[in-house]
Amino acid sequence: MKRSTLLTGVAIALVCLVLIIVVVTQHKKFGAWDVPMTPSTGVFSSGPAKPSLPPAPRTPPAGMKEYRSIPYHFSLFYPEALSVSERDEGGGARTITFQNLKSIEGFQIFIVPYTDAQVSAARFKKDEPSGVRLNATDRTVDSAVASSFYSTNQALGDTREVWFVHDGYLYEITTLKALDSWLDPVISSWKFLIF
Amino acid sequence: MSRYLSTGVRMMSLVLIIALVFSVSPLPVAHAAVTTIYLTAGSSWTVPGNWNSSSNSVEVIGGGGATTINGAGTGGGGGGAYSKVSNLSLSGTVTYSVGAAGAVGTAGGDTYFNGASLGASSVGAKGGSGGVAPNPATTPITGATGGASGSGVGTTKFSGGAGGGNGVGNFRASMGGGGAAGPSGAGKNGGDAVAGGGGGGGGGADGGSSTAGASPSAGVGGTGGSGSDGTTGGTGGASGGAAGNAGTAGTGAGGAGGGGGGGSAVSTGAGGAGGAGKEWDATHGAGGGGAGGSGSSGAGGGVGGAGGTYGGGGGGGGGGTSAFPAGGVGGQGLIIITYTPLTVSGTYNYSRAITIDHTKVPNTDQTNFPVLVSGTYNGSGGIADLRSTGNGGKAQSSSGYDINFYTSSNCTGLMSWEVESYSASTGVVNYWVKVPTVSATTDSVFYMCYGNSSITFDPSNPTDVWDSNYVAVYHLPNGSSLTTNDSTTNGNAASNNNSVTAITGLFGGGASMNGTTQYLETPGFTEPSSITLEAWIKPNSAGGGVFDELGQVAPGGGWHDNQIEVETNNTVKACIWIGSLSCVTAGSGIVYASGWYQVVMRYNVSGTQLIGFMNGVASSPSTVTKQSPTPGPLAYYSFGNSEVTNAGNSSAYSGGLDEIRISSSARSSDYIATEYNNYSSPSTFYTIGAESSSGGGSTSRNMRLFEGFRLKLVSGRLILRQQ
Repeated sequence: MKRSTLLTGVAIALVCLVLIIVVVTQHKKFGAWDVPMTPSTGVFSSGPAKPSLPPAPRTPPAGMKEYRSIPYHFSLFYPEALSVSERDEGGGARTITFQNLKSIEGFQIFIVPYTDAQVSAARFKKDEPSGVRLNATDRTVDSAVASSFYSTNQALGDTREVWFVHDGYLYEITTLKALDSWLDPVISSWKFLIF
Repeated sequence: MSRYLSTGVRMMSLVLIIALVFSVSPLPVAHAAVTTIYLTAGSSWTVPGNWNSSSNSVEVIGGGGATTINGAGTGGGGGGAYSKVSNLSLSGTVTYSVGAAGAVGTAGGDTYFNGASLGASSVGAKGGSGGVAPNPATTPITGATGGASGSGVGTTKFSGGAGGGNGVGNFRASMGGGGAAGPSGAGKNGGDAVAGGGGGGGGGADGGSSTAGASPSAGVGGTGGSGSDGTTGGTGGASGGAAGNAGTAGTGAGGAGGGGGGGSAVSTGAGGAGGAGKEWDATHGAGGGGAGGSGSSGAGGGVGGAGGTYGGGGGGGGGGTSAFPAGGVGGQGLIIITYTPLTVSGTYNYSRAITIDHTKVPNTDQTNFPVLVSGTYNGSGGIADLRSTGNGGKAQSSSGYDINFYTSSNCTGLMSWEVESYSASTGVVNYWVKVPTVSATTDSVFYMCYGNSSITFDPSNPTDVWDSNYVAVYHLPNGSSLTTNDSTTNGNAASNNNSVTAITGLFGGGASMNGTTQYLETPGFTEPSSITLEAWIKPNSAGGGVFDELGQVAPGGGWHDNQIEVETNNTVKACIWIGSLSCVTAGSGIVYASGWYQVVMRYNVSGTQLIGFMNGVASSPSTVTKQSPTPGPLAYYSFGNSEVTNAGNSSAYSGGLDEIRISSSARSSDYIATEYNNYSSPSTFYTIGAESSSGGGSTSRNMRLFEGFRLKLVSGRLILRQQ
């Protein structure tokens, strides 16, 4: 092989490598892997003095059921076609899933003890290793102010996240991005139970 | 161009192949370091806090038997058996026994772990039998049996090799000892003796490629058996009128047998010792059998070779008509404990910096200093709340296991500490934290991290807190039920004589003596040449011996040497025996039945200097030469006992005693003053900073939604695919 041939080959290989690197980095960029993460701006207050008994069950609209958590003091309405399961994650944390595998509809609520008023960067990274937090806006969940944003998950793909802190707990509600508007009435039905 | 392109494509392919190779190469997987502990003496073992019941093994080797002495040549001892068990669930203190080496015809002792006997243990191995001698001399003998696997306890068991025997008697040579069993298999037999005078070779150890010892041939000592890795045994001594050659010890992974002594009418060739095995490390393995000594028609023969370390049977002593030589002793037993320590995982919710005030550390930096962290931490007024969450605090473990100390603010660099006391309900704690450097010029900082639900074991590593110069450290913790355990690795627990009672000490618990009969006493240990004795005292009244060094167990008689004594004139004296009692005044101004006082006696052998200390302040030194206790060599230390020879008052000590320490070195004056500053007032020695919070629970989120499935968008429609 001539020296010039060899040099040209090496040059072509290098060009290819550079192209690959550019494609990968651009993909990362456009895939929003490196979006700077900022802490949630939600600041929340604890509820008023509480009576000792939980309030009476609420009447859900047609096609919905009430879910209520006595330990965590909240109630919501969810589509009755969803099945509910709960898992104790240890350390006072709990995951509640509402899902229908047939219609591919569902959401989960992760609740963990949390002492700070705002979600720290470390906590966000801990629960959302992708670090993705896009189109963040504030919204209310009953009396709490939540941060609503898009993220991504290895198994689920793009997700809609609604996070808020209330009364010593961090709540993380997750659904598929495609179900964003489907989840709206569920979040709107959320009530903290005062007892 | 196409040629250029094809070359480029070839180069690119090469690059891609290289990239692919790197990308599919497995990444190194981090493994927790395995801890191996060898027990070769003692009878009780404290299970470490990081013991892992799901990843451990305990292996044992019985002691090797020894031969006996008889004029016609003797049989070799049997090798010790081997047993193993895995994944023992242990906690607290475990009782064990290490099989003794057989000596003069006795069997090797059984080795067992976690039980009061072999049969009651979790794992145990039988010792090899003792060798026998023909009597009358013409009676054939059979070799001593090795430790039988069938008598052992465990899931893996192998027998030790048998000692050599003979078919016809009275040729005055002797036989090799059996090799020990090991993790690879049974020990091999020692070589038999035959007429002609040479000794039999020792058997190889630990299965594998090991072989039996050979019998002598034409007066040449038998070759020792090979070890488990095939390392050849020692060669036998040559025949002839001269003394036979000692066999060479084997050096294989499993100990090889020693070679037999050479035979001769006047031979005194000794049998070679069995080789030491190396299965676990360079000094711990299954030992080969010792070889037999040569026979002689005259006076005496060669001595038998010793069994290899550990568990090898001893070789027989050579025969003769008189002055019979000794047989070889067996190798002692061994316990090998291997486990993968539990490691700290998860994250802490909280951390605080602990900053040591350098002005409380005089003149010189202190290395690996045991800092006392002591106080009531219940969250009041913004201080740390170390109570358990069940009591409204922030420690997730009700035992306080998740209150840990680190060198870095991000809770990395786990330190060693000892928990003297922890109350989940009140937050009263007493921790001894080994701080690498306590600086005399700048404030030193370490960190307390707490609130981690993932920690379910005690990660403290308490014995590491106390440096090797500490012979004994007694915290006398608790305050309600007196315990006199030694916090060092030396296990010098003190005896409680005449019911010394528990009281609240300066920190944690303490002990109270009645001034008449009550005292504590250490077991005997080799008297240090330089020594530092320390204690905190709260005397009720004048008089009383605080420390008393004894040359025997019984106090009050025999050799005794008052070391620290409270006097009638509100002083404390530190004394040593130099043929008569020589004292210095450690301090004065004692107020009886009032506060606690630090009292120290220090003798530095290099300067022959005696100094006393009280509350960190040194007395004027005295240059004197201390005499060692007699009969010795062991020294015992009693605390609170009266003595006839004394510095002015012969009464026993009445009052409180706390934090007793004995060091085999002369602790520096700065070290002693730093101790005083820390222990007399922990809250001014350091400050605990503001709480940093990781924001809450240590549990991170798991995605449970559609768990086990992967979502795919196909033709604009979501579908679930099982993962």
